[in-house]
Amino acid sequence: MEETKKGFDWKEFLINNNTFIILLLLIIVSALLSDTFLTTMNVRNILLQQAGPILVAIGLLFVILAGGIDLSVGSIMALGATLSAILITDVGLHFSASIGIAVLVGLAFGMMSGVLVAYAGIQGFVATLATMTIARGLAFVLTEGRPIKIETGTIDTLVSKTFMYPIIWMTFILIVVFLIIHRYTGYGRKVIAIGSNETALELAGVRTKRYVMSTYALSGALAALAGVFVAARSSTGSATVGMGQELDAIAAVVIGGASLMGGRGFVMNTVAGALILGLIGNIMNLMAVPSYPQDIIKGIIIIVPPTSAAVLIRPALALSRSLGHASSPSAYSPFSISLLNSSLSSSSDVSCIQCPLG
Amino acid sequence: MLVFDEPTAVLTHSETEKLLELIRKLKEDGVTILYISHRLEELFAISDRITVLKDGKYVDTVDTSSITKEELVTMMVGRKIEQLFPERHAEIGEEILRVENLSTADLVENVSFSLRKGEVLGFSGLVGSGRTETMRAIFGADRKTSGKVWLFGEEVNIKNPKQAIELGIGFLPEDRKTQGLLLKQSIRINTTLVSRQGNGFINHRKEQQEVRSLLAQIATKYGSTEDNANSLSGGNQQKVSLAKWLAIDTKLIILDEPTRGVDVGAKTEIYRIINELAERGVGVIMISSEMPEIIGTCDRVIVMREGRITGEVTKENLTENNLIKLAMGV
Repeated sequence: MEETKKGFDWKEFLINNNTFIILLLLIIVSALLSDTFLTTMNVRNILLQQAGPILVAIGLLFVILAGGIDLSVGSIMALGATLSAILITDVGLHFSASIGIAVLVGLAFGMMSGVLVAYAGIQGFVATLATMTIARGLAFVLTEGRPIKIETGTIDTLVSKTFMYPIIWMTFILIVVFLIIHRYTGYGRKVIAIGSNETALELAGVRTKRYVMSTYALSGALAALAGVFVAARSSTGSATVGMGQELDAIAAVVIGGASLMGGRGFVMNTVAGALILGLIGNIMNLMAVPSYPQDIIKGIIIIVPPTSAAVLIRPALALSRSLGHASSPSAYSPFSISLLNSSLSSSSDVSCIQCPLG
Repeated sequence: MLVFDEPTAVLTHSETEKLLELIRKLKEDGVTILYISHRLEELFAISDRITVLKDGKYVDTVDTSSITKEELVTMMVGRKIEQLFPERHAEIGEEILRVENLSTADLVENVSFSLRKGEVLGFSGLVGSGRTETMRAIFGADRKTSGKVWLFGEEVNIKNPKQAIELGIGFLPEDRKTQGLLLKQSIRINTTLVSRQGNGFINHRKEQQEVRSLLAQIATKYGSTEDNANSLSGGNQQKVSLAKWLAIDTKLIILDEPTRGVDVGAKTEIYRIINELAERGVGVIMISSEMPEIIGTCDRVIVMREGRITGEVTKENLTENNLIKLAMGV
């Protein structure tokens, strides 16, 4: 144990920060490859484009931290985009009210998944698959399959230069807010704790189900807002918005080093993960790489951080495992009924004590 | 020669019968059988001689025909209680908890008992006798199908652990790894798991100080409050798991096998904590399968068997013999 404390632990540094390192390398390489990459216009475009995916990834991070998964984010984006377009164009609501309603509907859809998962005991994958299908279907029904053009002077305010690109600063504020929630609030801690050991948390007096539900609601609300952002950028509400975005969001969270088993993950790493995916797309567009090869490269990038982490961690793991064995329970009762019945405990008894909170 | 080590542990009654029949046949064919079991009936059913081992030491070998079940039990338990149980100066006060006719769906049947202020009440019995299930039902972790619970003379209907904790009940689960700790989270988070119920802001530095002083009180050895719980030894893990209940003001604490899998040093420390709690007027319920421990720590012991209370043993009559008889229904 003592020798690992000597000096700077570069291995640990690499493991903890590999997302940022990859992002930095990517920026450097991109800047070398393309003169246009670091121009104001391109940077602004990247930020406007990635604002939505970043928010979706953060929402998904909270679901994943609590040990769940949300496949519905892409579809809820479409719902957000089309709903805000309809409310502005057909209903004639002010764009801010429309955005508010769209976000609330996204929240409601997330909540629907959350209730199914937390209270009906349906697996997150299945529940959100259903929500995903319903939300996408609803977006198509609402728009009758046609993109809805939104009049200028409304939702495009979100991308206007006069207001300093609200999408960008809104996203920035939300990142900070969720960074704080994740690290400095009891809510964030409980979400992480649920993903770590829900049974223990419940026995510590936390009604875990409502927290599980809340993560899906949060993810739904952020996804709807991301859909609104897409609508604002194109001044169009289309039911095809966010196709496949759930996979990009999962990729961003994974690149950010989160565990899909829950209990571990960080907001800034997830943001970096989303930016990495966005940058890869951007630089390859600038280099005029066709879109199919882009996907191949994206796929490779997804696997780099977890692989590098695994390769670096493995020796450390082996070490801790051997230490763990050395300190495993050695002093059991000398003579006791438990010993008399040691073998009984391996049958029904233990399992039936643990299952009710499963 | 053939050795059987607890062969019937996972067998049903009829399967056991078949196995014993098979062993008798093998014996007739001239095979020597070494049969290890905690089920005394089986030993009497098939053996010619019985050897008793205790604490890894040989006690005696006797002819099966020359000994009764009770004599065998006495041979198995005849030991002094070690001096690892510190003395307690607690005043036993008024009744804190009263449970009447508690039943659960799967196991517990008509369990009634009461607990007084400053009292340490033991629950003895075989593994699977329903002790944990009883306590989980009281704590609101499992549903009870019938029965009433009074806390400080007031009837309460506890539906979940959160309510139980708000009423001042603490519960240390038997398996710290799956129920007590978040192994992959920091010692700090684990220690404040119960005391920090709010969703608001957390002051990390203040929390660290709280955790440090709390863990120092119970002599916990750890590196940093930010280390993961699984970096600790078993005994220190258990101390952290227990510390989260010491961080709040419990009036009644249920300890389910509090010393399972911990070293002797940590055990003594846990006994000391139990005494301290009782001296402060906390009512303590301790489930334990370790006879010396339950005799050394408890004022009174309730024995359960197959989901029912089979008896209650007061301090004066607290012997392993008495407990085992009640636990096994001899």
